[in-house]
Amino acid sequence: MQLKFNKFIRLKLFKYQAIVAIATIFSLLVTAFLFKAHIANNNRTTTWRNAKEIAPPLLIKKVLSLNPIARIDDKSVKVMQISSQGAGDLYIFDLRSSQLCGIGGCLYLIYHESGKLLLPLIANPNLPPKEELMRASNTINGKFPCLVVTQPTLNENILSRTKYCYQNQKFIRFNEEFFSSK
Amino acid sequence: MKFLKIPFSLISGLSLAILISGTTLISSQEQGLSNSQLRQSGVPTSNWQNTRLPNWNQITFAKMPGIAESGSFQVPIRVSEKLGYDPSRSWNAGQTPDYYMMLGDFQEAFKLQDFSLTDIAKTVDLDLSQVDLDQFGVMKFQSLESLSEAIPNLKDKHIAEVKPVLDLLSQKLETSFDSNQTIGKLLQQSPHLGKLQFASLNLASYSLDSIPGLATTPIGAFKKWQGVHINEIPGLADVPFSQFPNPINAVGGNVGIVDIAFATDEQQRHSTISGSNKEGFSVPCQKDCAHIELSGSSAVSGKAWVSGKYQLVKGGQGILSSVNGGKEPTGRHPFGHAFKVAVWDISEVDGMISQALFFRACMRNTFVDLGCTPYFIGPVPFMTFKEQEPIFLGLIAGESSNSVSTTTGLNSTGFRFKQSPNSSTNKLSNLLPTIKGDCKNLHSSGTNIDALIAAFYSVEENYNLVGNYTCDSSDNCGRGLGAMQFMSYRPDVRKIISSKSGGAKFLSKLDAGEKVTGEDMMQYFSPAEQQTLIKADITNLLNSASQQIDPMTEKPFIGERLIERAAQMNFAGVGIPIDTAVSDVDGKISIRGYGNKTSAKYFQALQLMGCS
Repeated sequence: MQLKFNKFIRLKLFKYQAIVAIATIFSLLVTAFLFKAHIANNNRTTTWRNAKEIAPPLLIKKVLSLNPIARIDDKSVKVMQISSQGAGDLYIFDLRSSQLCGIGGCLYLIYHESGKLLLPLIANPNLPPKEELMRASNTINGKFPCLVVTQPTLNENILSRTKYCYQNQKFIRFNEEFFSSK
Repeated sequence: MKFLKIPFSLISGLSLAILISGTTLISSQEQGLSNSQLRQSGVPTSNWQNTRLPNWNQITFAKMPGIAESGSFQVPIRVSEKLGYDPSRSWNAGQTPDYYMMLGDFQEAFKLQDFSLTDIAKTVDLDLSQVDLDQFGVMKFQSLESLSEAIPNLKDKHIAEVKPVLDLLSQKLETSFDSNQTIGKLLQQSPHLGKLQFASLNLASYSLDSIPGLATTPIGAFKKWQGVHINEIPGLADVPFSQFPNPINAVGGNVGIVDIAFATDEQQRHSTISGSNKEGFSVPCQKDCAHIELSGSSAVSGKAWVSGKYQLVKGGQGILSSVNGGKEPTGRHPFGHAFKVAVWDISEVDGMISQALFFRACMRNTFVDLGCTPYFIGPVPFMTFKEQEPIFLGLIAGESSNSVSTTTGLNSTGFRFKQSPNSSTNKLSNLLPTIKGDCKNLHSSGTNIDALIAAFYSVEENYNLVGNYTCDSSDNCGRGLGAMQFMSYRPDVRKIISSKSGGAKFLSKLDAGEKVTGEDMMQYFSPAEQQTLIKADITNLLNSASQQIDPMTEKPFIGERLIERAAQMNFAGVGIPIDTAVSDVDGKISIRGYGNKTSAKYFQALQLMGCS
């Protein structure tokens, strides 16, 4: 009788140990997943993608409706998504419409996910191969990364990098530096 | 160095007096930076190397334009006491500088104190025998002793020979005196009589020649000459600046072209040629940077002369540098340190700018040197310039500055001059090359296509220009070709090139980024073909613009507004929102600003084509 009882106790103890072990492993897996997701989010490569793939539909609708003059094909619109430090994502719209490009460049619109337009800009997309027109900088201002816009200059092989940073609820021109193209 | 001889307690006492006495040395200069437009000055000019310079042979204090704003400043009484005269002053709008500037203000710059009345009279053909003694402003400061020390040989004169001295002694002395003795002997026997002041006499009842040697004595020999206004020296206000003891001269010889006028929408201008003596002449601007961008030599090309109406810098010397908050309009000194030249009103719309002058007050005598205020007494309207007109800059030293100018908070957006500068219209025709164009080459809207091409591209006929190899966002790669830098991936350009023998191979070289020469390119894309293409582009722009509705009239774009809209479309595409304030990455120009600027250039081009 005593033997049976001890066996029962050992069995029950093993069962509890197994549950605790499984729970621990599950917790570790969840933590690892979340950590990985967090890392991935922070290292998100800022590239142009089809607007419909990444931008909120309401935001796309808003952007397209604001310009009644230009004919914009929503399938052509490209967007670059940029994460902030807990203040919501940014969406840079490249409308890819010849009707929004001229000798000064093309129209680019930087929106917050809330629908607020933070910076409209005319930028020249004609750059030496491998040069990025726009990218997020490592500098953070007001929870948003600064944006770097690369532009050609009148001097051959010299490009400019202009940094725009978030301040007072919009992106303002911060500084400009020059460098040799790749 | 005189300053160093002053006891420290005096310096610190004066500093304290200045700092404690209410608003420093009280200044009401802020109104001098109001948004009012300067009237056209009509400053006489002469040509030097195709550049208009002020004609200093014709410019005098009395003929200078009136100051545009009233103002004043008041020094504490302790400062007046130390100096021996009161340098406080006020000025009313419209007054010429001879009414509010004192001799001491130009002690170093013009050395007016080296003039004698005789020198001035000869220069301006003035009969001194007709001038009363009270009109010689230094007399009110003179005592018998100071006058005797200033005028050589006066002490040797008998009292009876010098009527004002005789009357002064007769008036002040109750006892009789020997009027046949010399003035020197009187003062030797009774030194206290040297304190008698001529201000107590009715000086208007004497002529200048009533005091022998007075007219031939340099003004600087008289006591307290620094505190005398220019218009208190007979004839001085009519002496041309070129005739001063230290004549005004250009400092340096740099000339630039007023390339583009920019309004206060502009920000972050780092490469400037404006500033102050205190901060150097390359002070960057962060906000509200209305300026002119210069072209020309490598020393000035691309640099900004920032408007002093919208940007202030630190100025002044010594204790007086605290006046006006220590600030003065940013600017330059192309003609020395008597005054500062500031770019003032700027109109992007008119493609035109005006300059204004600013004076400063300096206070220094044998014993005290308070330095100089910032250049804040102004604005005095000066010269006006249109875009593409040469402008004299003076010495460009290529210096750097660690400071940043301060905005005045004024805004120039949309500013227009009320009238064209009387100097520019005709001069411009002489300075700019005429534009080849056909007055009858009209679009159906009435717009002259050749003039619009000139306004868009400022074509320099460099049809063999080959640009860098670049790719756009859609991975279209190629080079800009010709005077208008048409991209080689444009279908219409490719059609022209590929139609030529060997054109396909040439295109493949362009596509691959291989080097091509301008001569090669011209074989496949001739100047005539380039012109045909640009005319087609312009026509398409005008067609599109004239079909859009002008929100200002709620009717289709016409006339000047059509030009503006076509320019906006040329800059950023036919679908760009109308009159939007969106700017390029440089922050140099907005869509709306480009439209306005191009419109002004269009009408200028029409004029240069002889079509208006």
